[in-house]
Amino acid sequence: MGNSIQKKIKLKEEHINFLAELPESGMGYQIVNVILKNGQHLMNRVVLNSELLMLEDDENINPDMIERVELGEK
Amino acid sequence: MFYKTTSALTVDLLSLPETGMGYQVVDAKRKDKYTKERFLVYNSELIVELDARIFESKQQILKEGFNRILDKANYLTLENVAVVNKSVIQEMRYLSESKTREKQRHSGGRGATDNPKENADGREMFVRLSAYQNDRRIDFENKRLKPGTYTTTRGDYRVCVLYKDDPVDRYALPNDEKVKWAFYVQPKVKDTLQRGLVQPAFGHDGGGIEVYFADGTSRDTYVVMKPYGE
Repeated sequence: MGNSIQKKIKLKEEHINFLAELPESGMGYQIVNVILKNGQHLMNRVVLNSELLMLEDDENINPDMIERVELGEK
Repeated sequence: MFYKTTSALTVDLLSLPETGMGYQVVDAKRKDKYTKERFLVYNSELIVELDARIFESKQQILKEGFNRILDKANYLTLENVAVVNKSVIQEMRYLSESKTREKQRHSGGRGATDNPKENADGREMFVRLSAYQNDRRIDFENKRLKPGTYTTTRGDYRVCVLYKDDPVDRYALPNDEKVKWAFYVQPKVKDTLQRGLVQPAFGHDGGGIEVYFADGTSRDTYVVMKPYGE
């Protein structure tokens, strides 16, 4: 069990509440598609505890840039 | 190995429920032993050791015939006989489809959502592991799991702790954050669940047991939160 060094951002409350009512993909996480306000789609991303979106190291996304999230494929 | 029940044991077994049509899976102690073992008993009269050779034993019965095997079997005296709970049997079935590896992990088999639903027995405890104290799958207000939540069995969690196994790898979790919390849940009989084996994912081997509650659990089934490993 190492400490996480992976980049994460906390989603906005409305997205957290939305995901918290949807099924998990595994214990403690959901696979989601993230649709940004600029039209970009981030496919099959991991959200931990319905609130923390894991990002690639070179991605700079803040929660306000997110239009909506939806469940992806496991 | 095959054995014959004594007449007293047959009487005892006939007073106990069947596990399936024509057979019982029981835990019992041999007369000269201190610990219990698991046995499969056909027709309350033919005892088969329930071990890694069970498949071969079944084949032998089919090949030679029940009566012939029974005729040449020796008597075995068993004590403290108890029929094994059906939920345990269900888990054994899934595990029998897989191979046991180190730290009692398994490979092969199927994930929970690929297996049929079963009802909880009202006694079995399940554990949800999390890095977060505010785990959002627990409905703390109604003391229940929300629909679509994964857990593991208390037995598998105990094995994970006992063998000092890495829960992130055993349950194939996507993040390497330390698992800090264990949430205990005891579903009611009307609650349904699906059991399976954690499949490899995120560069982790998996192999633990996963239990999925598609419809969540009833009110007042969330029992307690404890620090991981305690």
